[in-house]
Amino acid sequence: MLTEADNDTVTAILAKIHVQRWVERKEFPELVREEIRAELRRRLADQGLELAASPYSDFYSVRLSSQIRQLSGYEWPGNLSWDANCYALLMVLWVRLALPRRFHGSGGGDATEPPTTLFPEPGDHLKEMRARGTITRRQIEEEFGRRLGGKGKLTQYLKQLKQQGFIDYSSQDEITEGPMLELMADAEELTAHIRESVIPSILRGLGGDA
Amino acid sequence: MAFADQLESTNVPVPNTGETNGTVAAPNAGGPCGTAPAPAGAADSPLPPEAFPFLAPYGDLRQFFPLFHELTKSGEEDFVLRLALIQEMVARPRESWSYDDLDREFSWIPGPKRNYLLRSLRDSGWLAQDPYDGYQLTEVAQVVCSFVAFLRGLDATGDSLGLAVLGLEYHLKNGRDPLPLVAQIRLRLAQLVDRADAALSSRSRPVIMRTRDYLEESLAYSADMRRVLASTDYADSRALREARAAHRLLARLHEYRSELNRLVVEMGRSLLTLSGGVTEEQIAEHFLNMDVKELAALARRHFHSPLPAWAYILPDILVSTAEDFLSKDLVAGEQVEPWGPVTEVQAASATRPSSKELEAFVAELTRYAEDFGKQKAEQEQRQGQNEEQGPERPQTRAPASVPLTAFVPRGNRGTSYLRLHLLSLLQPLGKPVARRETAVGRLVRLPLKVETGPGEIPVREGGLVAMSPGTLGPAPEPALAPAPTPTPAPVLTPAPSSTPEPSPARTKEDPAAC
Repeated sequence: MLTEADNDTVTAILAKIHVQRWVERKEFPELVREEIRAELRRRLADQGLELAASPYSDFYSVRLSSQIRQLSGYEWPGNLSWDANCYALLMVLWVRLALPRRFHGSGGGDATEPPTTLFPEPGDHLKEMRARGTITRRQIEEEFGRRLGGKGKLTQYLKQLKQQGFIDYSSQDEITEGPMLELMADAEELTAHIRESVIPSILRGLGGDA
Repeated sequence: MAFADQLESTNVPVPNTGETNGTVAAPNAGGPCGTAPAPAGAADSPLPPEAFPFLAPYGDLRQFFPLFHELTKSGEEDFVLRLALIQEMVARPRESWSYDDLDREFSWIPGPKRNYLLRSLRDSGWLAQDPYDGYQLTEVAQVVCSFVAFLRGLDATGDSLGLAVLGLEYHLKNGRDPLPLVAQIRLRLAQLVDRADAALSSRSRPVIMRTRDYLEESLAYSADMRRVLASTDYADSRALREARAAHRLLARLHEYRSELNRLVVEMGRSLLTLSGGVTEEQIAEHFLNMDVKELAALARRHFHSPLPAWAYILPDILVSTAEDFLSKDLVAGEQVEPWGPVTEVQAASATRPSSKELEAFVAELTRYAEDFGKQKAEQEQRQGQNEEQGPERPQTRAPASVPLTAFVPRGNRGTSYLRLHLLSLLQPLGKPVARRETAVGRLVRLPLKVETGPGEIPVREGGLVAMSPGTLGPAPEPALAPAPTPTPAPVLTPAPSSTPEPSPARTKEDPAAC
C-alpha cells in the first residue's frame, strides 16, 4: 500500500529522470521497494515508456516500452544524425565494455578482489582495463578504427556516443562506459544472439566446417 | 553527573590524563576473589564499580572473573583444553566425578597434566572437591557452561542476530532491561542493510549471491525477532526508539532480499557460459570482424534510442523576455521577426531593412559620390581636349569637396551623431570589404574620403552648436593614393537642451568618436 509520501517519491523520481535522462541508483534507495517500482512502471507505461534498469548498472533511466518500439516509426530518431559506422562502434564498445562481465566465472566485476600478481604478464593490463570497463582510444583505433573512416571520423563518433551517454571520457585516453550503454542495451537478447549464433559460428570455424 | 565530574568528586585520578599522583580510594579494591589491588598511581588503575553509579550494575559480573581468568591465563591452546574438559564434564552428567571416572573418561590427557588442570580449575572456582566423592561442577561454573555452550559451532559474525534475539527473550522473561540487546539487534540489522546495499553496488553476481544467502540465514530469525520486539514492554523511551528502528530496518532487509533475488535471476538470464574451447577474446574478435552494416543493424535492433531530456520554461524568464520584446520601438509596416532558433534570427538579420535615417544618409552620400564621379569624368574629358589643342591651355582642377557642415547636421542630435559616426565606415580604396547588399555594405564601398581639421565651426542645425571643420571628397585612385595621414577626430558640440534627447554615442570629451 503506497502512502502519500511514496507517491511523492515516485513523482520526484520521474521528474528527475525526465530532466536529467538518468539518475544514480543510490540517489533513490526507495526503488528497492517493489511497490514503488510497480507504481513507477505503471505511470511510465501510461506514457508508453518503461523503466530502464540493469543489475550491472548504477543508474536508472527511461526508454520507450517494448510495445511502442514494435510500432513502426518509433525506431532510432533520424535527428541523431548517426551513420552506420557510429552504430557499429556502439556495438563494438558494448562488446568490449559491457559483455566481459557477463561471462560465467569472470567475477562479475568484483572490485573487492585483490590483485593476483605484482608482476603482470603482457596483456594483463588490457584484461584489467576491460574488467574495469574501460578502453583506450588507441585500442579502438587498432582494433576497429580503420573501418570507421579514419581518426577524424572516430573522434566524431566518440563525441556522438558520449553526447547520448553511451560512453564517457575526459581525454579519450581512457574511455569508460556511460550510463546508457547498460540501460539502453537489450542485454538478454544480445547474449541470446551470442549463445545461439556467435558461439556456434566460432565452433564451426574451429572445426574447419565454416 | 558527567563521568569526569564523578571522578573528581571521588578523588580518583583520571587515567591517561597525566593526573596519576593520587591513589584509588575505593572500597573493596582487592575484589571478592582475593585479587591484589592495582599498584597505587598506575595509569591503568581499576575503577571500582561501587564508586560510580553507572558501573554499579556491572559489579555482579565479578563473580565470573576467576572463572574466565582461569580459562585465559595460559594461552590459546590451554584455553581450548580447559574449555573442552569442562564441556565434556557437562556433557556427561554425573553428580560427582570420582578419580577413577576422571582417569577413564579423560585418559587422552596425560596424568600429570590432568591433575594439574583439575587442581587449577578447583582453585579458580570451576570445580568443588570432596575427599570422598571426587570433583563436582560448582553452580557458577554451570551457569558459565550454559552460556559458553552457545559459543560452540557459532559463526562469530553470522549468528549474533540470533543470539541477540534469544538473549532479549531471556531478558524479558526475567524482567531485565531490554535496551542493550534491542540496541544490539538494531545495530546488527543496520550493518546487514549496509552490506546488502554494498552488494547491490558491486554489480558482481558472486557478491550478490553471497550476500543474498547471508541475508537468508540472518532473516531466519526475523519471525522470532518481530515477536520478541512486539512483546516487549518499553518503559524506557530509548529502548522504544531502538525497537522501532529495528522494525524499519527489518522491513528494509526483506526488501533488499527480494531485490537481490531479482538481480540474481536477471543476471542469470544474460549470463554466458563458455564451452567447447571458445574464449571471450574469440567472441570479441567475431564482432570486430563483422561487416560494419551488420554491426550497425545489430545495434539498431538491440539498443533502445535514448530519449531526449525534457525542456522546461521558467515563467519568470519567459515573461521578462516577452516584456523586453514588446517594449521595442516598432516602425510602422516593419515586419516583426518571429521567435525561433538563434540561427534563424541571425540569418534574418542580414536581410532586415535598415533604419530610415541610415538609408537616407547612404542615399545622400551616394549622390555625392556620383557627383564627384561625373565631375571627374567631365574634367578628364576637358583634359583630353586641352591636350589636343596645345600645352598652353590651363590644367583642370580637382573635383570640389563638400564641407561636413553641409550634410552631417540633420534632424536632432542623435541623427547628427549617427551620420558622423557612419562616415568612419568609409574605407580607403583597395581594402577588401564584405560585399553585402545592405545599407552599410553600400556605404562601405562608396569611393569617398573624409578629411577633418582642428578648430570649431558654429552650426545651428541638427541639435548642434558647433562641430569640427572637415570635407567630404572623392577617394583618390589606388595608385595615386598617398599614405594615410592622421587627421584629428571630428567633434560635434551639442546644443544645450532641457529635455534629454537620445544619448549620443560620443561627446566632445570623447575625441575618439570617429
